[in-house]
Amino acid sequence: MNGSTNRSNDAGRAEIPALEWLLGSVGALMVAGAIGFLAWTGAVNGDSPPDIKVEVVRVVEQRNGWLVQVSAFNEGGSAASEVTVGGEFTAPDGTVESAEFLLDYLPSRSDRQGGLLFSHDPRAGGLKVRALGYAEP
Amino acid sequence: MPSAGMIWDRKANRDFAVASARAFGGAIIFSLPLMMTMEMWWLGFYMDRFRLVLFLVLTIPVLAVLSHYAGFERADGPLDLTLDAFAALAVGFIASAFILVLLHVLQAGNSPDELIGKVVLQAIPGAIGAMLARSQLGARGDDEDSADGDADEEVEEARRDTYAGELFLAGIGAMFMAFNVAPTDEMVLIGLMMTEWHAIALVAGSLLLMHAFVYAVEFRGTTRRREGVPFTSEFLRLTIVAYALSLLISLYVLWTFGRTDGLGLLELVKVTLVLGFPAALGAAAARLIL
Repeated sequence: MNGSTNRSNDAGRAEIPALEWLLGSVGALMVAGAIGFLAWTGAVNGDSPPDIKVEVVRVVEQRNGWLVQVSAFNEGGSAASEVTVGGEFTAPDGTVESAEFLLDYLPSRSDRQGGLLFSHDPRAGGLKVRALGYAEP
Repeated sequence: MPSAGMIWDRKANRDFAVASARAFGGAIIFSLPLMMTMEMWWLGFYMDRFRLVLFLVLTIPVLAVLSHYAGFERADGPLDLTLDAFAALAVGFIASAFILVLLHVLQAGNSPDELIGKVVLQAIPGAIGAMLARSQLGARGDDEDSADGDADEEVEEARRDTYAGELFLAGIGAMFMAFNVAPTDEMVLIGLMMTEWHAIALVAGSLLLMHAFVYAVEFRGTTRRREGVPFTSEFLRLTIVAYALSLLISLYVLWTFGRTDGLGLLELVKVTLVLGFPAALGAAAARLIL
């Protein structure tokens, strides 16, 4: 920045209006806050890998089968992409039924929702849900 | 320090409020394409935090210098320019938070890190758009003191006509175009699809188009004509330098977005040249638009 010397003769020109001080200060606070927060989380989270917790939100009986709504939460310090979330249970007739879906991204400390679809009631057979794998973004 | 009388001057405050409102318009127009790009949302949470912080910090002096050449309101002196830089960032932050909430890109389940990362990344192009609002959304002479406004325009226009001014604005143009396309996967994909011969042809094409733009600026008439300057000198003085600047900026933006990680040297060069193409056009067109 080269301190400009061609300042106008108009005396009012050199004065900075209160609103400019206000908006400028708000901007400086926002920038300082963002930098502080990002640097802090960057330091705290470091490079710890994704750690994905998958939970059943609820099971709904539908006209075409059963829907298991699940929520995936990334407890790790870095984001995961292409997260495969799967679930399986043993049906009354002894067959193992499984279902899965893919999450594009699962950021650190954030959750994403999805649904698993089954043709039998999964509550009867000891339903297990978990993340099967991910790719680094 | 300003006297208490002037700081509360109604007209000065009103003018600043009008300029800020226009700045919001500029921020939204400039950054809306990026706010509707999913790669930008993803980068907001997965890009390296150090690179994001560095990007934000570097934006502050760039905005202050931009304010000198094409600010969203009249600005003189380091303090005024710095305040305007932060004001533009405030506008960028508020505009991007508002639009991202409206588009439901920011959601309840997102962590603070994800929310802040997304907003910060979008606030940067938003702040540049805010700063350029006056030149873009044209407030020339619509103030009560239109003669005063015209004088401001002429002062800035004269500043832009210096060599440093032309190069700086070229850099802003390159930055803006690079920023708009760099987040997409296509940059790396195109780089991988091109042969070495395509890459060489792209360099020639970039330079040719850039030089055409440089001539167009001369013909627009607002810039003082450089009488008797031969083709080669103009080419070396402006076009080549602006192209080199565009490539450096492209490389920096690619690195910031993590697009350079794990690329081989040949691929790195090709991807930089690919992004350098829009960046070069942005650099060349900047002086034409501003």
